[in-house]
Amino acid sequence: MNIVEVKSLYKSYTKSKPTKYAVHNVSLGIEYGEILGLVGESGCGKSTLGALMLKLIEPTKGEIWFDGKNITNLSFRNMRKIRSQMQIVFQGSSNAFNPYHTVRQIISEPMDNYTKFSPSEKERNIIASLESVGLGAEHIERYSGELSGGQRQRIGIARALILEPKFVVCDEAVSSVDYALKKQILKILYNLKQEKGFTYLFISHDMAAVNAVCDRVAVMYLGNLVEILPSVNAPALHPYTKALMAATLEPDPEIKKEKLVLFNESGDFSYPHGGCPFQSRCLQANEKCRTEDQPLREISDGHFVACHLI
Amino acid sequence: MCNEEPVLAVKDLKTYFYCKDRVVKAVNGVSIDVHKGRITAIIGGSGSGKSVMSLSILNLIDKPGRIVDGQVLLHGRDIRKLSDKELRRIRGRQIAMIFQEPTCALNPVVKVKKHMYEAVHIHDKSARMNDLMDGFRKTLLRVGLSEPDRVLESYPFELSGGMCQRVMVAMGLVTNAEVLIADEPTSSLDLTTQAAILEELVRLKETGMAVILITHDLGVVAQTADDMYVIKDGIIVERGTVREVFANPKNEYTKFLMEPILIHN
Repeated sequence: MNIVEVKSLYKSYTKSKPTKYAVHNVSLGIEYGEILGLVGESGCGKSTLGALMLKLIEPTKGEIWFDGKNITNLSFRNMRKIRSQMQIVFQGSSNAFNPYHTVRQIISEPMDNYTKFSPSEKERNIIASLESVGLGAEHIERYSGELSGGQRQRIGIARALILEPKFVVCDEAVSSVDYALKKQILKILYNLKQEKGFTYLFISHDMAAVNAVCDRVAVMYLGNLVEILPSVNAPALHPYTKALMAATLEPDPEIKKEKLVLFNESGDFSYPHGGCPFQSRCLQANEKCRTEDQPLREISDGHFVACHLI
Repeated sequence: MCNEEPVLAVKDLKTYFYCKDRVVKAVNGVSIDVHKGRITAIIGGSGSGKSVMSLSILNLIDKPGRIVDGQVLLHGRDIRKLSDKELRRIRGRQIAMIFQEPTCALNPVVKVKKHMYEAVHIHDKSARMNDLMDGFRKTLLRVGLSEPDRVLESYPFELSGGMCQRVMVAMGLVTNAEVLIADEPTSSLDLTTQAAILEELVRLKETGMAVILITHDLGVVAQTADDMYVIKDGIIVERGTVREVFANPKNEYTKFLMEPILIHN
C-alpha cells in the first residue's frame, strides 16, 4: 500500500513548449512506514520530485496520489486541508526560517494554521518537539541566527514533525553538517519513524547516510529514474548507480579503490534527444542506447533498472 | 610519518578571536609538518579550528582575530616575520589556496581567463594575457576541463560547481606553487564530482606538490591522504600516517569519528 504515488510525472520549468524536463516520466510509489532514499547528482531533479510529491509546485503532466486520493488537480483550498499530513525539511537550514521569528514562532506556526490548541498546549507541544530533536526549553526564545547550523537543522525537523504528519520529505537534511551531527540527526529521524510510523522521502547525495537509514533507494539521473534498489545492500546494476557507488569513499585506507571515476568526464552532457539519458557519459553505451528509450524493468523482486545492457 | 625535511612546518600556532566579552581560542597551539609529494589531511568537526589554522598559515586572519603566537616555516624560513609586501610574493606563488565555496570565491563578473591572468600578473607585472593563454589551456586540461577555450571565455556562473572548483585548482597551478592548501574542496560537491577532484589532487601530489587537505570526511582522508592530523577545539588530538591512525586510533575523538553510522542494519 502506497502513501504517495506519482504516475508518469513530468515537470518542466520552461513556459512554452517544453524541451527539457527536470523530472521526466517518473513513476514511483512510497509505502507506508518506509524510508525511501532518493539519490543522484546535483541538478538531477531530486528536489523537484520531492516538491512535486507535496504539490508545492505544479506538475507539467502526470498524476500525484496521496493516501489513496488523486491530488493532482486539487485546488489550493482543498490542498490546504491535507497539507497538515505532509511536511518538508528544507535543504538550506540557514535561509529556511524568517530571521525575525523566534524558535517559538517558527515551531508554533503549523499549529497556528491547523490546530485549535490553547497557548499552554502549544507551549507544551513545542517543548516536547524540541526535546525529541535533542534541544530544550532554553532554545525557545532564540532567533534562528543565534543557533548553530546543526541546531537550525533540528529546528527544521521539529517544525516539520510537530503536527505528526504521515509523510515527510527530507531534502538534504544532513548535507553540510559534520559527522557527529549527521549521526545525531539520522538517529532522531529513524527513532521518530520507529515510534510514530512516519514515512520519509530521504533526498541526499550522501550514500553513507542513505545506507544508514533507508529501506529502498531510488536513483535519478537527468530527471529520469534509472534504478530502484529493493534494499541498501542490493547490488547496483545500472552503470550510473555503479559510478555513484564507486565514487563513495570508504573510510578505510586498506580498501583503496582502483578507480573512483567510472564515467566519461568530457563531452557533451546536454540532455540527449533520444535513448538513454546516461548515454553521453556511460562507458559501455552502444548504438541501441543512443536511439531506443528504455523504461524501468523489474529485474528481480522489487529491483527495477532502466538499461539496455542488463 | 615522513622523515624528510618538511616544506612547510607550522609550530605551536595560536590564533585567538577577541570578542566583546570573551576570547575564543580557535587555534590553540597547533604544530603540523607538510611534506613534498604527500597529502596531509587535517580532519575535524565544524568549529574545530581547521579553517582558521589554514588561513593563519597565509596570515589571512581579520579582526577581531589575531595570530598570537607560533611560527610558520616555509623551507625553514619563518614567514610570519615577513612584511605584508614580502608575504604577498609567497601567497599564490609558493603557497596556493583553494577555498571552500568555489562559486563564492570567484568573481561572478570576471571571466575565467582574467581570474587566471590575475593570479600570474600579481607576481609578474610584465606578463601579457596573449602569451599566457597557451599555458592556461594546458593547465585547464591538466585539471580535467576538456574544453579549455570555452571555459576560459566563460564567467564563473556559467560553469558548474565542480568546474569552478577545478578552475580554482588551475589558478593554484599557474603559478607553480609548492604547497596547495585545499579547504574543504569537495564538501559542497556531489559524489561523482568529488571523486574527480580528489583524483586530481592525488595526481598533483604525484608531481611533487605538497597538499594540505582540510576536510570533515573520513572517507576523503582514507582514500587520498598520506598523513593525517585530527583537530578538536583548536588542538591536535592525534597525528600519524593515515594507515597508522586508521589501524590503531588512540584518541577517543578519533575513535568516535571512525565508528560507522549504523542505524537500522
